[in-house]
Amino acid sequence: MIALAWRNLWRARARSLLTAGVVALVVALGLALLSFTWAAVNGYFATFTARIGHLVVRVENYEKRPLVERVFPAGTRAEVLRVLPGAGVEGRLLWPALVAGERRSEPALLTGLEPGGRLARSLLKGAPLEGGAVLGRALAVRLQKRPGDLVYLYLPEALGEGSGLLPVAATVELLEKNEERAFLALPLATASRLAAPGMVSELVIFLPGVVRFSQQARLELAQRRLSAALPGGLEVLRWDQTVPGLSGMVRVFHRMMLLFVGIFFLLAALILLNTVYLSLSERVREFGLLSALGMTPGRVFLLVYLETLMLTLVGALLGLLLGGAIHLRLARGFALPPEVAESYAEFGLPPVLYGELHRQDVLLVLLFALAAALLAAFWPAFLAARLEPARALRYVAA
Amino acid sequence: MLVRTQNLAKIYRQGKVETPALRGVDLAVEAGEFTAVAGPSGSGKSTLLHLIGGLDLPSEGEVWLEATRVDRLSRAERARLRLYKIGFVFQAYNLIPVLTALENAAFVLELRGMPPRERNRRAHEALQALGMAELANRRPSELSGGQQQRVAVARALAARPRLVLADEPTANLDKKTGLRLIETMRRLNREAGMTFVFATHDPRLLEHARRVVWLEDGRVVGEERR
Repeated sequence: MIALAWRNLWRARARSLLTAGVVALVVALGLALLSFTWAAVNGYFATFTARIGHLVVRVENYEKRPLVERVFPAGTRAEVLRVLPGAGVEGRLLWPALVAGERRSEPALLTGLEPGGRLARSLLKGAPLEGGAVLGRALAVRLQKRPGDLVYLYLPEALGEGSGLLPVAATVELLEKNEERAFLALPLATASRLAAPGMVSELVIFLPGVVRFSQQARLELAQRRLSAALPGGLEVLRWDQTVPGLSGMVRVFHRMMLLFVGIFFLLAALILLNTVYLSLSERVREFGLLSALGMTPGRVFLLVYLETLMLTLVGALLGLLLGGAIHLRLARGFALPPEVAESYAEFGLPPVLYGELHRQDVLLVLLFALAAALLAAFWPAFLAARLEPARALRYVAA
Repeated sequence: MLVRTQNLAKIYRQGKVETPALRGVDLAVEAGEFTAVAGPSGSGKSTLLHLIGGLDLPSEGEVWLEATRVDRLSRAERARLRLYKIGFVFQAYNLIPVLTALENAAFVLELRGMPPRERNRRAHEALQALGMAELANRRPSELSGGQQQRVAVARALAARPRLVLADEPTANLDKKTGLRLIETMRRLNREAGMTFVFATHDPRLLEHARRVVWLEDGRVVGEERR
C-alpha cells in the first residue's frame, strides 16, 4: 500500500514536485517568519529589560505609596548579590522634584542612576551623567536651559539636603514624550544625598546570560529564590510584572505571526486539494479496478490520504532544510533596511537582530503542514472511497 | 451451487430516462463450470457479471454466491467478498499502471495481508504458468495487450478465488493471443478447478465454453450445454 501510494505520487512528476515545492516554500517561510519573530521579540526584550531590568526589588504595594515612602536601604544589594552571585545590581532612586531656571520652574521626577550603569546607558543614550543633571529635552526647552547652564532643585519631604544648584550636563530625548517633559537624572550618589541618603526606590537586577524572551523560567527561579531571602516589606517583580503591557504586546506579536503562518498553510492546503483532486479525477477507472479487486472503501480512503501525506512530508522535509538554512543565516544576526529600522527603533527595536527558533515552533509548523494535508485530502479521499466500482470502470475522462 | 441469480433486474437511471439492462435473469452456475454469457452489445452481459461480482447492486432480484446474498452486503463487505472469493479479468485496464507484472499478480494477495515472500512466490508461479515469468519486472506500459491480459489472469490464478468473472477478455486481442488466453483459462478450469464465467461475443471463446447462456435485451433467451 505504501509502495503503491509512493509510486502514484510520482506519476505526474511535475505536478507533484510543484505541489511539494509549495509545501516546502510554506514550511520554509513559516520557519523563517517565526525565526524573525523571535529575533524581533528578543530585540524588544533586550531593549525593555535594559531599561527596567530582569527583576526589580521594591517595597510592597509600591504603586499605592507616595514616592517618598517607596524607599528602602541601598544595603539590600548585598543580600541580592549573595542570593544571585554574578548578577548586575543597580540602585535607582525616584523622588518628586521642582526644577527651576531663572524665569520659570517645572515639576519633575528626579531619577538617581549609577553613572556607567546599564540603566544610565539605556536611558541616557551616552549623555554624560557625571557632570551634573541630565534633563529631558522637552523639560530643558520649557526651562530654556542648555548644557552648561545652572538649574535649582527643590525636593519636597526630602530626608537629605532637600535642595541644590546643579549644572546641566546634557539633554536627552526619550521614547515617551510625557516622561521627557519631567525627566531629570542625577548620579545616584548625588540624588541620594539630596533626597534620601543611603536609600533607593528600586534595586534593578540584570541576570547574566538572560538575553532571550524564552528564558522566562530562569527569571521565575531567580525571583522565587530572591523573594524567599529578602526581608519582609520588600517584593521581587519580574520585568513582565513591572510592565505587563510590554510583555502582553510581545505575546500578541508572536500570536499574530502564528496567525500569518496559519494563513500560509491554509493557502497551501488549497493547492494540495487541487493536486489531489486532479489526480483523483484522472484515476477514476483505476479506483474502480482497485475496488473490483477487493480494496475496501476504507483502504481506498487511506490510499488517497497516504499519497497526500507523503507529498506533504516530502515538501515539509525540503521546507525544513530550506527554512533551517534561512534561520541559520538569521541567527548570525541581520539588520532591517535602514528606513524600516529607523521607524521601529522608536519602539525599541535594536539595529541588529538575531533569529531564533524553538523546537515547539518547528513542531507547530510541521503540525500546520499535517493539518493542511489532512484537510486537503479529506474530500478527494471521501469521493474516491464512495466510487461505485461498476460506474468507475465505465468512466471515461472528459 | 456456486452462483445463483433470481429474477435479477437492473435499470440504469439518468435523470428521468430509465434504461433497463437486465429484466429478470435467473441463472445458476455450479462450481467448476466454464460458462460463457453471450449476446450482442447492450444485451446486459457486463451488467450481469458486475452484479454477480458485487460491483453494482440490482434494481430487483437476488444474487447469491454460495450461501452469501451478495446484494444485501454493504460496500465494504462486497469488497471483502471479491477479495477472497472472486477474481476479475476485464476487457482492458486490468492492471495497476505503477506496479510491475509481479506486483500486479501479487496485489490481491497483498490486500489479503499475505507476507511478501509468500505472495511473491505465488505470483511468480502464476506468471510462470502463463509464460510471463521473464516479464515479471515490467510495468503494464511495457507489456502488449495480450501480455497484460495474461498478467490479469495470473493475478486471479495466484489469488485462487472460487470464481473468476471475465468481461470480454479477448476483445482487444489479436486472434493468436486471444486463443492462447482462452487455452490458458480453460487449462486453469480443468487443472485448478477454477470456475469461470465470462461475457463474450467472440466465437473463438464460445467454441471452448462448456456452457453458453444467451442474453438478449436483458433476458436469457437460450442456453446450450456441451
